[in-house]
Amino acid sequence: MMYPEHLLLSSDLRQAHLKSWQAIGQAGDFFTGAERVAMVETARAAVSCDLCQRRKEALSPYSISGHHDGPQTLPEEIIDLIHRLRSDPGRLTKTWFDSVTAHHVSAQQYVEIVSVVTTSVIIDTLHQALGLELAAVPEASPGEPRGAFNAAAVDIGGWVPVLDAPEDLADHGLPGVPNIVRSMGLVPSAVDLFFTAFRPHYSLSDIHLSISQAQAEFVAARVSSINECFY
Amino acid sequence: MASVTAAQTTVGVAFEEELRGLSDAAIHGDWEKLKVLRAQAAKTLGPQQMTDALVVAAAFNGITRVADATGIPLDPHTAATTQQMREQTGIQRFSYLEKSARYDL
Repeated sequence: MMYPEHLLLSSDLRQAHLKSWQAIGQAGDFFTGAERVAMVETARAAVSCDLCQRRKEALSPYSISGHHDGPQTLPEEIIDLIHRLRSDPGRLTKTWFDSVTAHHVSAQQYVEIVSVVTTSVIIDTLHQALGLELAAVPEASPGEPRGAFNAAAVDIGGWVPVLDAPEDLADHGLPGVPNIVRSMGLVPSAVDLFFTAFRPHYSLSDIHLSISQAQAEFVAARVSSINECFY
Repeated sequence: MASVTAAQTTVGVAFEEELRGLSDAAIHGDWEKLKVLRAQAAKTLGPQQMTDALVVAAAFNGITRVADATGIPLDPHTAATTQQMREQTGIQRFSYLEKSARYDL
């Protein structure tokens, strides 16, 4: 059980988070369960990392080099990727992405890392926001990465190929398949992992929470502003 | 709309001040402050609404990173209909091109 029973969280959310958390501990398509668990540990270390703090204070996060605090079980380039994603996501640039994926990390690996880390961010943020200790990291299961990815992913001008989907608007006036849902479509299991955790938290219309859609949009927009998220 | 990027202006959403405080503290990791705000919001919004506000905040702390990390472009309809709003609210400065201009060496 990830959350005490007294917390006013839906059963859908509780089950979704448990499912995603356990899935992190299992082999994905490009990383083993142990590596995926290490990603969560690395992301957690980024929150108090001295190098990350110095980078946040710098005019450019790419002007400061150094060694990250925390676990060193993953390759250095992946550790740096995770720390930047966790601590300063609003200042990631295409140039940086190109440098990472040119030599060190494939686009598919990159997508899986993003999925694991951002899924853990949702779960960790909710734990801490509700005054809980962080959940114990998932138990790593044996098994080898499957290597499956979406060879039919398309380029729509983002940094990675995305899920091919129609761009029609739904009845509520917003895209039926928003680009953000397509964004990790190069690795379908990455999409599944993240949105399994995310889905009980929000919807574009008829939100199934006690706050109104307008209130939810206000919170969403405020968080997006703090994280300097253009999308 | 400018209230979502500015700290002081308001937009008229019910319990906006409480929602802003909860969101800001959660995303900035100010857990001691959030503990106080949760207690206050539980009395004004009620415990369920307070919890659900944090449920949304947590989700967007994750999904904003997905967008930031993948450089995903705006949906065509959104891009076409929000140009002026993005410029007025300051959101345009978060565009990938502007970030590259500011942060790349």
